[in-house]
Amino acid sequence: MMLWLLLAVPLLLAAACALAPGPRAVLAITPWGGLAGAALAAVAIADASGQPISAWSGNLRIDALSSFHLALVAVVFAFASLYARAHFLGEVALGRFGRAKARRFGAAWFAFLASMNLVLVANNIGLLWVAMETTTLASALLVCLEPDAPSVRAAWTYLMICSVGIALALLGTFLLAGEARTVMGAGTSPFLWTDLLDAAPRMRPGAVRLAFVFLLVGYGTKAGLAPMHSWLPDAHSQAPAPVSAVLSGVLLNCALYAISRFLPIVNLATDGDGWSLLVPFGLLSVAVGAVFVVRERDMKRLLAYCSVEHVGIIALAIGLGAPAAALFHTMNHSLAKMVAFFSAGTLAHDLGDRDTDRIGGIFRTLPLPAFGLLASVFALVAMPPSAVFQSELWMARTGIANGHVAAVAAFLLGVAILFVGLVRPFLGMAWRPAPQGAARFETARIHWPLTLLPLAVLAILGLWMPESLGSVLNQAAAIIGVRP
Amino acid sequence: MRDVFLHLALLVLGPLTLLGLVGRVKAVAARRVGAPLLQPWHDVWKLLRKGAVYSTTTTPLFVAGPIVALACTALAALMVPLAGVQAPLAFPGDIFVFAGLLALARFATMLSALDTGSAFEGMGASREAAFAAMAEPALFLVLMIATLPGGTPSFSTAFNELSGTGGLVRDPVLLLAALAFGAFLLTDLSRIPIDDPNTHLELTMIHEVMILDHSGPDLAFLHIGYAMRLFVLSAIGVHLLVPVPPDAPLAALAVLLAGQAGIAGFIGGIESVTARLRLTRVAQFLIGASVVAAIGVLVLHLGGRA
Amino acid sequence: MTPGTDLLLLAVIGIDLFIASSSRLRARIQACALQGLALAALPLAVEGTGVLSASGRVVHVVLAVTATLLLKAWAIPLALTRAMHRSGVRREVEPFVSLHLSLLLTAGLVGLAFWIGTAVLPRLPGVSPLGIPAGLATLLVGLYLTMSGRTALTQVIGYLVLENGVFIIGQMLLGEFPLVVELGVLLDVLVAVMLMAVLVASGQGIATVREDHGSGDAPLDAPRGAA
Repeated sequence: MMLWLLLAVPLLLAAACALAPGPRAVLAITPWGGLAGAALAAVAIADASGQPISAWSGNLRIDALSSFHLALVAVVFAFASLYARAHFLGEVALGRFGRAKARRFGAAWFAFLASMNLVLVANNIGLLWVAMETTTLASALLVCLEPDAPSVRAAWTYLMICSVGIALALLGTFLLAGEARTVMGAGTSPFLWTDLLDAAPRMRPGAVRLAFVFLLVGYGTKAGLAPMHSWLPDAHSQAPAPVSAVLSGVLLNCALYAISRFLPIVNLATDGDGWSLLVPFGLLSVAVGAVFVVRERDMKRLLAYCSVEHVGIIALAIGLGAPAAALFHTMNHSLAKMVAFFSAGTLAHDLGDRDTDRIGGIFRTLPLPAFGLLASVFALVAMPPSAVFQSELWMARTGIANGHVAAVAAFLLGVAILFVGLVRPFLGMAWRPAPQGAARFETARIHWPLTLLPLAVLAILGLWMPESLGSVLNQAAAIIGVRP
Repeated sequence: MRDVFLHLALLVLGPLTLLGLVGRVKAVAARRVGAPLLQPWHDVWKLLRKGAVYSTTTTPLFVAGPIVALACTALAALMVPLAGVQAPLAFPGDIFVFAGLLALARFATMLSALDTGSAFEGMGASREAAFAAMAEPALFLVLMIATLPGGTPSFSTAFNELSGTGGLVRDPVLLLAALAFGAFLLTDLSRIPIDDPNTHLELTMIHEVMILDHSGPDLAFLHIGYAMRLFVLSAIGVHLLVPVPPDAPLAALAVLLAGQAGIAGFIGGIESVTARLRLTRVAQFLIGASVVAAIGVLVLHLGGRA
Repeated sequence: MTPGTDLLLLAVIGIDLFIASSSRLRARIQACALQGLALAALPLAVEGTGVLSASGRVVHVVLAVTATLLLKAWAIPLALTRAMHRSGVRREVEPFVSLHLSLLLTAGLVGLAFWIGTAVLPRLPGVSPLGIPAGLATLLVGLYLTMSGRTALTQVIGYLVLENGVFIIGQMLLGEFPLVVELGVLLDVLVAVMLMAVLVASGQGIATVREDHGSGDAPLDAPRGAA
């Protein structure tokens, strides 16, 4: 029942937004809808905390891994909904957020939530694919909310590359199911993840490896793993700020989640080949992120390349055999990136500029977003006491313990370059003098908790990891890290 | 002996009549009264009685061209089994000789066209050469489809094999072969959409412009050679498409003639409904034909039949 | 298995070749619709008359066939045709790869698919030997079209062809999908294409993409890369 509510409530909210009488009505629904989604997720997670729950003859299922990601989605989405209200209320005042646009936003926004929830609760790998493609469709609508040329172009690139990429994932899904069908007994379905896991040791390694390559490339495109990342900087930087936060904060996680769902099946069938396939993609993404950050000047594109880097780090962490560290890092990255996009969005919106070489004096004109941006950037580049530092340290230690010294060294080099490349432009915005006659902008009151709360959580987690979080991470990681 | 006689009779009577049939189809399709079925006979008879006019710039090559072309075509025609009977000339590998003779006939025509020294005829010859070269792979690939299952590259084995398969209905590969062969047929016979036999603009002609300077018996030879080419190629087409019963001569004859009439209808029909392709598209058309035939060979290979 | 299946698969390959070698978008869209038609008929041909006897499967097959027919042979081509009219781009002008070469390349891809389908992958029992190669060929041609297309609509068509290829392979490997998966995939493809069509028709200069590799960059003063 809870499982159905997770999907039905956002869809109802989407319908409500699509029929809302005006932009203010949509913006009234948005924050409450986000919070309602979070509450539903909390109840569902509590239900599933002891034993996985499933519905619809096994097609939907929540276990520890989906619970973890559901929680992340719920938190980031609720924060982004609150931020979206403040953000778009300003637009309404300027007359740039009319009824049609508001309806389009609201419908796509909650459809996006529904599709992400479906990705996370689908136990049927075909349904997982359908949900994943739906996230692309809903978020592409959000990317081109502003129908100007750069946004439409970014939405086009996003839609095209991700749809083609994900079609390959469908092929991978079919290949896997086709292989499973030959070894499965009666009463099981080659599309159900739980049945696949049972049958995995009996499958032929070659066929499963082939299927996984397609799955990795397909969902990897959606996750922004290099070299399939080319759409990501455009889409994430052209979207409105709350959308960017969700895209970077949790949508990438959902794609990685899909890949990690298939990992145990592959590892059981092939004696652990899945991990080694992830490592090159992870390393390449880290390298690409680090290199492109150095050349970039656009504030939001910098953050987008930073996402490519972090997705690479997460994939690498899984590949190096540290799934718990990967999950911890996923969470830290989501929180930090969310704040970074909120703050950057406010700055870009108020200053009307995104060029880090031109903007200056942000602490004088917009102190809270300036603090939020700098603090989150420092958190993202793993400056202690950020929890990102802890998760990267954890993964590096596990990697070395597992004998991957070269990969860890390359990873540390990438992180070092990212540190310099990302901090330099943002610090410049702080110490460069503000332009003549720059006034101080008002900041909506809601921005205070939206900025400070996640940062505080990151700081605390960087110093002290509670037992309960550790056990949640380990339970979820145990699902990814099944060993043959 | 009776087989040879039948074969020769078909070869003598068939070609010009078939050519007339194409004309009839076009006339009916266009709701014209049109020329009678036997018009080509009348034309050839008329030409044979006339004298020939030779330009002062021509050499004996110009006279030799039509004769060689007709001789080659006639020889090639003797190698194709008609109506289920053994061809008068049959040996392993005759398929290659057949294709070579047809090419030789074309070469002779082109030489005599070039011999006139006229720019128009040179242009026609150059186009003919280019298109023929591009159409040739399609022919060979189709012949490959026909002969691979039998194992020997000869017409009699191929046709025996084909008559056993049940034809187009049973075997989709033959559909590919038929498509490619149709494209080759239209190119080789210089019909629409490659060339327009009725055009009045020398610039767009290919075959017609080559034989523009020929007159009298020379032109008649070219006409007969052309009609014979049509007859023989359409006979091969029929064997590709429909299973011709090998042991019932009368039924086989009926199938052959009906099939050839069908092909005449196909040619006339195409000419009634489509226009000539742009010259740049012709290459694509022919590459496409070869590709289709190549896929046929692949499929044949896939099915373990080659 | 049946000659009907083989014929349909061959038609699908033929349509691939045609799409790759024609320059008119209208012709490509129509060919795409035709391919959708072939795809809709495929389950019927594969299953033959056996469908009608197994009563439980009739509803499933009929639903899947109808949905494919409606979406791939009617709704999607219609959306593409409209987008073509609105965007005013009717043909692939100055393609990156000349049409002759494109045809030959496509033929090469088909050959590659046949090679992979026979020499690399094991033969599946009970499946037409043409099935996997045809699906693979369609997939490769679709991929090629999305990469080589200069107009946005060609890329959309390439995406559709790619999807068709994936579907054929799935059909051959699995025989049938769970209905929810099949309909979900179809619906997603439909919405994706509709969205793409809307973007193409939006008049924001993406109908002919690729002059600058589709980079949706914000207008910064200095050219990127100079910094």
